[in-house]
Order: sequence, then structure tokens, then C-alpha cells
Amino acid sequence: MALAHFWNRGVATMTTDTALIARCQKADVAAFNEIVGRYKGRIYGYLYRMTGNAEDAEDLTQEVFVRMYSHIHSFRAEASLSTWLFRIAGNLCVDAFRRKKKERGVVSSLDATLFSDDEDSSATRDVPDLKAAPEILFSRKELGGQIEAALAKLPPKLRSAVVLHDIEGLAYEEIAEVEKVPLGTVKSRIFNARVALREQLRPYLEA
Amino acid sequence: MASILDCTKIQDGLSEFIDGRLTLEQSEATQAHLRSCAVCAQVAEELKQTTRLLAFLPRPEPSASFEQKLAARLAGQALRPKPTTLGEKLSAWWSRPRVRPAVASGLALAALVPVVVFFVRPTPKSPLPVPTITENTEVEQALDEHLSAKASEAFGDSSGLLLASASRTSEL
Repeated sequence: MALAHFWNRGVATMTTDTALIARCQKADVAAFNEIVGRYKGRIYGYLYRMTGNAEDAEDLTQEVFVRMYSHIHSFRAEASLSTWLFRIAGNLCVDAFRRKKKERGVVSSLDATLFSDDEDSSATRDVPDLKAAPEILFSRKELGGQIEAALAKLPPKLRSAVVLHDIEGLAYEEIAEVEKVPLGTVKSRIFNARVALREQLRPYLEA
Repeated sequence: MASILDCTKIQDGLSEFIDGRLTLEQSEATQAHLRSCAVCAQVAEELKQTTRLLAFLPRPEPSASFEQKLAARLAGQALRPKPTTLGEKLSAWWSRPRVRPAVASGLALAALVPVVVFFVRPTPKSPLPVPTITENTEVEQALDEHLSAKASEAFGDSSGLLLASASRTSEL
């Protein structure tokens, strides 16, 4: 039942996306604005998790839609709009990292975690140590903050995979398309991300 | 009692098990293993809970002025329609960022070809080495005799031999 609902919703969204893209490709600005309204939250959410701050996330989200605006005529109808937008967002993250690295000359520990290309990077952000936290009941907001911190500690490639899957709801196959990696790589990234998060969030797991 | 090998194999697939991505057969095998192995069952439960915890993350939203800022950035840029006719497709191709420099480079290279062909001719091959004439007294002697015989035929006397000797001397 739930699966059927999800499937129908997915198909309906896909159809509408396709129709909106077709209108955009005929220079219909209203259709473009509708796409922005539909996807800005998801793209911003992804970029916020990847960059770790609202200002960079907003700038990059704007850039995603600017790129979409100027390249809409090259979009193929059979492709998925969300996959395309997340792919642009992912590429912009990598570009932003490279730019910052060049500008500063030295990579700060914050950037190393947020944008590092090195999957095995052990550099981490200065976040509270969850293991040291007392076992008390946290409010939803506090718990959210702790999960956010644990997520920020993940290497970017693992973080990207788990955010796209568990938060943005992309399928493994869509993530493989977004990241341009084999399906097996997506599986292992999601698995490793969950294992790492489990270690960080152990104090909040029920025995 | 589950073997370590079984546990490793099962745990590797737990993430996909949680997401319902295993085949029916794999899923049933995993469930059977989890019923008999407390360690793997705990790992599965923890991973499941971890995944659920992500739902507690606050949902960030872009600023209220997002659309306004985007409109300002796009001001002056027209939403380009998808080309449909051949002329429009060519025009779109021509306006792509890397096309013009690539075409200009290609034309410049093409223009250089005749210049290179005309001015930069291949260097002539070095002449074959002249074989050194080794002294061969027998050949020289035969040549002398031949020349004197021919000279005698022409002059009808022995002066031919003298002429032949004179010509060889001048050559040397």
C-alpha cells in the first residue's frame, strides 16, 4: 500500500517534472520558477549538510539554479530532473572545495572535513563528543544537533551518499548516477556511513 | 552456532537488508541468521535505529529572499529555448563556450599546413658514399692496353700508346 503510494507519487512527480522541463525548453519562465519552488529545499538541504553553513549552502543553491537556467536546453527528456540537479550541486561542492583550497593555500580542518576528496580522511570537525554525553533524554532539537554533528564528522563521500539516500530519499541507482560511481560503491558508502554514524550516536540508541 | 564467515557476510548485507534491497532468498537467509545470532541481530537493530535517527535532523530552509536573489542574478539573461530547426541547432552549437576557440584553433592549424608543406621541405638525403677505388694494378694495366689498342686503331701507329699514357696522366 505504502509502496504503491510511493510509486504513484514518484510517477506523478516525474510526469510533472517532464512537463515543466518541456515548458522551460520553450522559454517559459513560470515553469522554471515552479521547478525552483519544488527543488530549492531539497538542494539547499543537501548543500547545507555538505558545506556545513547556511551562507555557502544558499550561494551554491542559487548557482545550481543559475546553471539549470542557462543549460536547460541541453537537458534530455529521459533523464531525471532531481538527479540532474543533485549532480550539479555535487559538482559545485567539489569546485567550491578546490577554490577555497587555492584561495587559502592551506586547508583548514573544517574544509578538510567538508570538502575533502579523500574518502579515508580522518580529519574531523570540532564537534562535541557524543560518547562523553550523559545518558539523559534529549529534546528533539538537541538530538537533531547531535546527529548533525555526527553527520558532519563523516568523510564527504560517505556523507553525500547517506544524505542523498536517508534524508533526500534518492534510490541507490540515482545516487550512482549523481556521483558517477558504480552501484557497488554506493552500497559500500551507505553501509560505511551508517556504521560510522552508529558509533557516533551509540549513546542515543536503545539497548 | 553461526560461523564468523557467515556473520561477516550477513553484516555486509545488513544495510541493504534494512533498505529492503535484498532478494527474497537473501532476505530470508538474513532473517534466519538474525534469529540464531545475537551479535548480528544487535548490529542490525543498531543500524536500523541509526537510520531512523536521521529523521530527527532539523530540516534547513533557504532564506525568504531566495527567489528574489535568484531573480537578481538571472536579470538580463533570457531562458533560451531548446533548438528545434537545423539552423537553431547550429546556432546553439556555435554559441557553446568551447566551440569557437576549438574551431579557431582548427582553422589556424589548417592554414599552417600549406605553409609547412611549402617551406619546410624534407632535407635531401645524403649522397651515397663514393666507393673508394682501390688500386688494382691488373685493371690499370688492362685499361692501358685497351686505350693504346684503340689509339693505334685511330692513328695507325704506336703514337696511340703515347696518347693513352698522356690522357691517363692528365686525369690523375
